[in-house]
Amino acid sequence: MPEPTPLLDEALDRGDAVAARRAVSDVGGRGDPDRVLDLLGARAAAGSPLATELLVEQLDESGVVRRFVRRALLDESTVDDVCQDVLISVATSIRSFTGGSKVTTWVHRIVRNRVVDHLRRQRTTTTLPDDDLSPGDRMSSLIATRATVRDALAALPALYREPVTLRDLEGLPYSEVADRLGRSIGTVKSQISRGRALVAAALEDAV
Amino acid sequence: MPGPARIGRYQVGDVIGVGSFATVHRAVDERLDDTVVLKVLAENHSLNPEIRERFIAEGRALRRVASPHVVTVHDIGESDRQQPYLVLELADRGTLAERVRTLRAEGWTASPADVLAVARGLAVAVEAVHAAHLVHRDLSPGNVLLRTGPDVPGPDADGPPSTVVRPDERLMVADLGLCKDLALSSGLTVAGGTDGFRPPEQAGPGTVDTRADLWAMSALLTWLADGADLPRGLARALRRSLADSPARRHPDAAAWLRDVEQSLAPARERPPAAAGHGAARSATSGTGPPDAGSSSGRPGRRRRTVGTVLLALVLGAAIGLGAGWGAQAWLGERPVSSAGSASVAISGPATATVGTPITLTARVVGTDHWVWTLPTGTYRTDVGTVELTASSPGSSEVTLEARAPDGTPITAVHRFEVAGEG
Repeated sequence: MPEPTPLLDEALDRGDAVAARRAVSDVGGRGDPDRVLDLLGARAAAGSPLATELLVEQLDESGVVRRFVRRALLDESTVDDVCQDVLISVATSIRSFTGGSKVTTWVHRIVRNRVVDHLRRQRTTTTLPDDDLSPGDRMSSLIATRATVRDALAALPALYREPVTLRDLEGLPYSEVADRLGRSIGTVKSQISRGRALVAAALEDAV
Repeated sequence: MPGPARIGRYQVGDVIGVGSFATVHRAVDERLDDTVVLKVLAENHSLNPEIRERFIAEGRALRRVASPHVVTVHDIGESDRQQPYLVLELADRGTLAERVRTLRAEGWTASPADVLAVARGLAVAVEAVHAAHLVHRDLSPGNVLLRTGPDVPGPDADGPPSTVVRPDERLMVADLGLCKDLALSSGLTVAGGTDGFRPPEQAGPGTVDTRADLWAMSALLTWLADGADLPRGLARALRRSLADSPARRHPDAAAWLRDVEQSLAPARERPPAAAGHGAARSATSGTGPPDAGSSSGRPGRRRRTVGTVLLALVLGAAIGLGAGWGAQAWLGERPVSSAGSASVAISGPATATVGTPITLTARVVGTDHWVWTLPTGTYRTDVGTVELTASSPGSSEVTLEARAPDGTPITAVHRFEVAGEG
């Protein structure tokens, strides 16, 4: 078990996203990113949606996921796609994280699985059945078509809801989403990526 | 299935090597108008994330090593079939293994200049690898390459040229052993490293540090020196880094090279008393390096002159002997003449006269195979007697080595004095 980080724990208990984010960056700023991840992982596994959101954010923002993916893949856009897939897997399967290993170890295992999935899909030269869509693509098309998903999307923090809505419901290119929101294209891409992961997590919880 | 004509921007040519993990092609980079080497990870392994990661990591690691003696990674890419590939500098003169095989077929044995040329290139390469906080882990004759163009003249530019690394060539080390290591830990194929050039600590799981490479360097030079008439001091220098325990080896590549260089120092550096006037190719040891690595109970032996006598052999056809066994016997530490019920001994005269043959006889019990090491540095296997004719006066020795059934090396040494004619 990670050492208790009282401020973060309390903020998660209260569901106070602002305070929790500040606590995360405080602990992370002291050069202990693994501790933050482990704590968030434990709380997310125990069912805290806020912890899941922060975990996905941290994994993405710190570059942990990207570093793991880049070990096995070279093409930049492929790396982006697989990072998205990994975040979705993390968000949807965090309940199965037992705390028996470090979060990064658990994530690395997920990365390898998503890398293999990606390579297999690429190698299949026949027309892809729907099942063979990448998790990112599937989530994107789900969001565009299903009402329950829209509910999950509506429940997202505005930070993620807006760009995902523009991208997946209105079908705008990343560049236009960025223009509309006055954010950089990189920011928008990662917000959409995390937002989809969180929608997936919410759906998982609803099942 | 024929390979693709093009991978990325590279026009793929002949296959120049096939390993258990990757296929190596000659290729043309049309943009830069250059011939390069493409090392492509095997298709079936490309779906294994662990092997993929190792393969890519090897490319990135090699790229960090800046040395003209380590193969340059120009680029890394991925084929349409998701196979990662490395674009590498071409070694247009082949491998050290091929070069030595060709030379041996012509009756060549290594000269001090040959040993020095390889030792210096290797030491510089391995130093650069270690400076990048890497361990090579797979130094072997097939992984040491030759290419045109020395960037810098060697320190021995004025000395006799080497025929192994020619004056217009540069030695390069290739292929880190990352993928092979993985094979070892996952039991996929062979053990990490290359048979005969793999240090003991790489034979099983465990940690390996830079001193593993020193072991392999010594093994490589031992292989190179096989059958050659070289100072015994060289064997001593190499033996130190062949110690099973890494702690007893040289601390780094520079120390290793110093020892090797000193053992091959030209005759003029010897104390006058030991400077014989034997034939040109006679051994010149006697001023070997401080014997820090081997058992130190024999300080008086340090200045022993060996082989200032050149003996002509009057034996039948030579019997080839694999480098591994013979060389190992040559380098065996703390020789014993018996183990269990097996023993070796040599009988024969303790004195000889220049020009008059003497006969030495093997007394071997408990094993069917043995090897003579003659003062000329050559080996003879499984013959009962050898006849030797000295060509100049001095002292000399012959060794007889074998393995007991339990694998213990056993050795007998016969020393004799050679008097001048009449």
